[in-house]
Amino acid sequence: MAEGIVFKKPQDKYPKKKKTWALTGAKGRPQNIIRSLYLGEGVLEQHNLKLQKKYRLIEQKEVRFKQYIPSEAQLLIVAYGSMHRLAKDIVAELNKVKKKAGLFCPLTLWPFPYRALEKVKTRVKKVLVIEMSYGQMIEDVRLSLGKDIPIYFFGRAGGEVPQKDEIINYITKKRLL
Amino acid sequence: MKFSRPKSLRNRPTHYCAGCGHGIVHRIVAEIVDELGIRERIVAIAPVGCAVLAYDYWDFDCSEAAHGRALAVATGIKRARPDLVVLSYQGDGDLAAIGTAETIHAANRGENLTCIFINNACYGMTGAQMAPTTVRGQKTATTPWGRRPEEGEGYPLIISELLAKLKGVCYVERTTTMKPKEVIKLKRAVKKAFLNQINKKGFSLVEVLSPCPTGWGMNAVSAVKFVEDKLSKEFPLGIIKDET
Repeated sequence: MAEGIVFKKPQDKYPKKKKTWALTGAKGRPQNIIRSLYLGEGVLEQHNLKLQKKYRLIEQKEVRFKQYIPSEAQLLIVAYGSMHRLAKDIVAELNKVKKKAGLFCPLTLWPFPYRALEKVKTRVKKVLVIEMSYGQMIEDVRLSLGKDIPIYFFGRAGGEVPQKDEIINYITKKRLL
Repeated sequence: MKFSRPKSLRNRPTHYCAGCGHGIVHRIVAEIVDELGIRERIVAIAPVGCAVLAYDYWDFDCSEAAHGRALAVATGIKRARPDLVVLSYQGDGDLAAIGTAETIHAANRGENLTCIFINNACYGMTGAQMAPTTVRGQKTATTPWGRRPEEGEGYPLIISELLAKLKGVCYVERTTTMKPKEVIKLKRAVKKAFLNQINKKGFSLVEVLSPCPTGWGMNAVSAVKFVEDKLSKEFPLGIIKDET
C-alpha cells in the first residue's frame, strides 16, 4: 500500500508579515517576552479567553474531510490515516458486488468534522468505524451521530494493520450490508 | 561617583525573599549589559524556578523555557541569530537536575553562549526539597535529617567541574554573592562570560553559590554563613577552567 504524493510549489521561505513579538533585541521598541506564565490576577483568564476565541476560529476555518457516499449507500465506513486508505479499497470491493457502502474520512481529527458527519446521518443506515487502536476517533463519531444510528467498531492495536478480508468478514458476520 | 540603577534594570519592587541572591545577580547582569552596550541585542532565557520572573526586572528581550531546557532554547536563538548575545540564566534544579542532558550537550557542542548558574543547593521555589546539588548533611524538606550520601541519597553534583572537562567549554568559574569582595569577582566573571560570547570563544558558565534563607529555614545572616561554611566547602570557589 503506497500513498501518492503531490509536490506543491515551495512558498516564500519567510512569511511577509512582520513578527512584532520576536526576540530580536529590544532596539527601538519595548522589551518582548515569550511566556506562558501569567501570575497577575485575571491575566491568565484573559489569555485563556483569547485562546478559546482562537480555537473557535480554528474550528470554523480548518475542518477538513473527504467523503464518498454513493446514492443508496447502506453502510458508511469512517476511517482516517492508513485505515482510510484501506477503507477505500473495502468500499470499492463492496460496491463491485453491488453492496453499497460509503466512506467518510476526517483529514483533521481536531477540529473534528462533526457537522459534516452529522449531515451524512440521514443518507445511510449503519456506520462502521475502523481504527488502528481499540477506539479513539469513535468517541467523536458518537458525538456527531448520537444514538439515532447504530455504530459498529473494528480495530486492532499494537501496530497490527487490519486486513481487508477480515473487515469484509466482519461486515458480513454482523450483517452490516 | 553616582550610584544609580542600571538602565537595563527596571524600577520595581522585588518578589524575591529577603536575603536571596537572585537580586544581586540580576543587577550584575543589568550592569554588565549596560557596560557592554548590548541591551538592544541581548536575549535572555529565564528558567523554571524563582527566577522565571527575571524578565520583570530586566528591560530587554526574554523568553521562558520548559523546565531545564533553557540552554536548548538559547541554542536555537543563537543559531538562528548569531548576532544576538544570548544568556541562559538557570537555577540548580533547572540546570543540574531536570535539564542535565540539555546542559551537558549544549556545553559539549561548544554553543557560543553565556550561562549563569545560580546554585542554592535545593529546589527553592517548590519548598526547598533536596536537589542533586544539596550538600552533605544539608537539611531540606525531603531530607529533614540532613542529606546522607552513604544512605543512598547521593552526593552533591559538581556540574561545573563536569562541564569543565568538556572540550566545547572555554570558561567555567564558581563565584558567590556572600561578600562584597566576592560580588566584585562575580561581576568580573559575568563580564568575562559575556565577552567570551561576543568574541566567539564558545561556551562559558558562571556558577553562583547563592543563599536561600527561606528554603533553608534560616535568617539572611545565617544563610550567608551557610554558603561560606558548607556550600563553598563542597563547591570550591574560583576559576575551574579558562581557555580563553
